[in-house]
Amino acid sequence: MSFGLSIHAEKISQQFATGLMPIRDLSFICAPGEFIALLGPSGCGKSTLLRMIAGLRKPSSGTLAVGQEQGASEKRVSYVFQEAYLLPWRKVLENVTLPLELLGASRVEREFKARTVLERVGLIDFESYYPSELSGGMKMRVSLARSLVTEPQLLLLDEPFAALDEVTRLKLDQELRDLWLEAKMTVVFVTHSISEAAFLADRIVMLSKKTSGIAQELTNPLPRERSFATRADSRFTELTQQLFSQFQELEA
Amino acid sequence: MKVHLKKVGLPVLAFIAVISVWESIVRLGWISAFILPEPSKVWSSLIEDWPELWVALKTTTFSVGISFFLSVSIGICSAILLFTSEMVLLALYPYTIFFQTVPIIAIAPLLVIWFGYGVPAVVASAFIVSVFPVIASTLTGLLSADPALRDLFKLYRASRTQSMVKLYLPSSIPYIMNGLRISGGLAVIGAIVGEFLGGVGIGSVIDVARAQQRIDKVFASVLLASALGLLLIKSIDGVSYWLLRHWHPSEAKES
Ligand SMILES: Nc1ncnc2c1ncn2[C@@H]1O[C@H](COP(=O)(O)OP(=O)(O)OP(=O)(O)O)[C@@H](O)[C@H]1O
Ligand SMILES: [Mg+2]
Repeated sequence: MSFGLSIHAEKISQQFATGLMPIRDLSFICAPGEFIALLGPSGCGKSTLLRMIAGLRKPSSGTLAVGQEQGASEKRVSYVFQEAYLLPWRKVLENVTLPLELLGASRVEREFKARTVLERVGLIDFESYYPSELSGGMKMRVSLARSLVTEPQLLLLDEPFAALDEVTRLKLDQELRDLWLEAKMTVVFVTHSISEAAFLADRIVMLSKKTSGIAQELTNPLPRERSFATRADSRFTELTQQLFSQFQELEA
Repeated sequence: MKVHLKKVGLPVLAFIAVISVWESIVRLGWISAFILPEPSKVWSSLIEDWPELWVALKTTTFSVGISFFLSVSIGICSAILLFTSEMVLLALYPYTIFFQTVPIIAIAPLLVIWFGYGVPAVVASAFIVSVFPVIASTLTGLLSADPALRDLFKLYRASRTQSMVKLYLPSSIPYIMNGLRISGGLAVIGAIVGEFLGGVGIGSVIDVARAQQRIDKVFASVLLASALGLLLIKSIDGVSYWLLRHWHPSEAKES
């Protein structure tokens, strides 16, 4: 019995008013507690797919089910955007409590949980700062904390660290992987970085712009526990090589 | 310190220069004092007529205050209503533009007929000209809430009230503040126009003084009306700073 939500997508498509159909007859299954990376070139429909999984947009056709095998009613889904998107008029702590506020939690519970996740992302000392007083990396951490505060069963991330510098990004990747090992939720991570996908995910789903569907799925041979040293592992290098040649074929 | 000196000193210097040139032009007889009274005359009118001016100013301030308050509250509420329902927006928004375009001078006499002489007609006149900027700016603010944040609220199944209170209204504060600055200035103008016919306040003093050819008194009254407008707009600036200082670039402090 796993904590995470599963995703069953069957022949889903998304067609926009412009006539463009970035996702066409796409099927895939994500097991509870899995960490999946969605990889693909810019404009291939990664965000579109993620938004559908989040329920922010309905597929124009096909069936998409997000839930638990046991059919428990409560589904906690969180979404992290490419940018932090904090409420600029709220302090860090109040930004993190927001989801709980919307779900109707008590003040004591909200603040306790928010402080716990802020501690986890290393920002407990900044709880009374305004977003305008934080660096880009700190804002992203707050955004991550906000997504974690509801203890999500499904965490969706859309290129969350793409705008950050390399070192910060590697650090946050590590933190995310560790978090997932602890919390065991299902994670879908969108990225266009091959090495990020290879480091983070257990399974890498590659989207194709040409067919508007899945080009390939790869299972990551790396061990569950990953660290900075993992990046020097020969399996890591092999995987990134493989993904890279795939990527080039897709672009060609 | 130097910057501060420049910021205060230069306007003061400019003021003294203009006043002295103006004073000499009239004293030398280049312009008749009936057309343009010299500053010293305006000053003495301010002093001599102060009891009358003060009573008038208080009435005008009261009318402006009431009508501005009505414009802000009714304006913001109407904008929320228009925003909440697309049907209402499509049906009514064209008519709110009426407030923007109505020639207040032309309908002021009607207001006096409808509301009688005195403060009510004045308040109506000031309200009519000052409510539209509040509606328009609030509506723009509500409509420009960040789509990503809207998604966030949708994801956590926020209710309409929660979204309004925690997202849409805070996002529109910078827009609303801009609308209030415009609205405040217009409220003073609308009140003075109303008072021309309503027979009270600074506007009425101006009307009577003009008939008596007391141009110095007209100027003194205009000066007071401007001071009232300035005070109102400065207070709005203060509220705006207080509300936005932590988060909006328009009020960001240098540090
Ligand atoms: N609301 C919309 N209306 C019309 N077309 C859209 C809309 N949203 C996205 N698209 C189009 O769908 C395609 C896929 O967009 P999407 O944002 O999913 O790409 P992406 O894979 O996330 O790219 P990136 O890596 O650059 O973020 C693009 O060609 C885009 O122009
Ligand atoms: Mg995208």
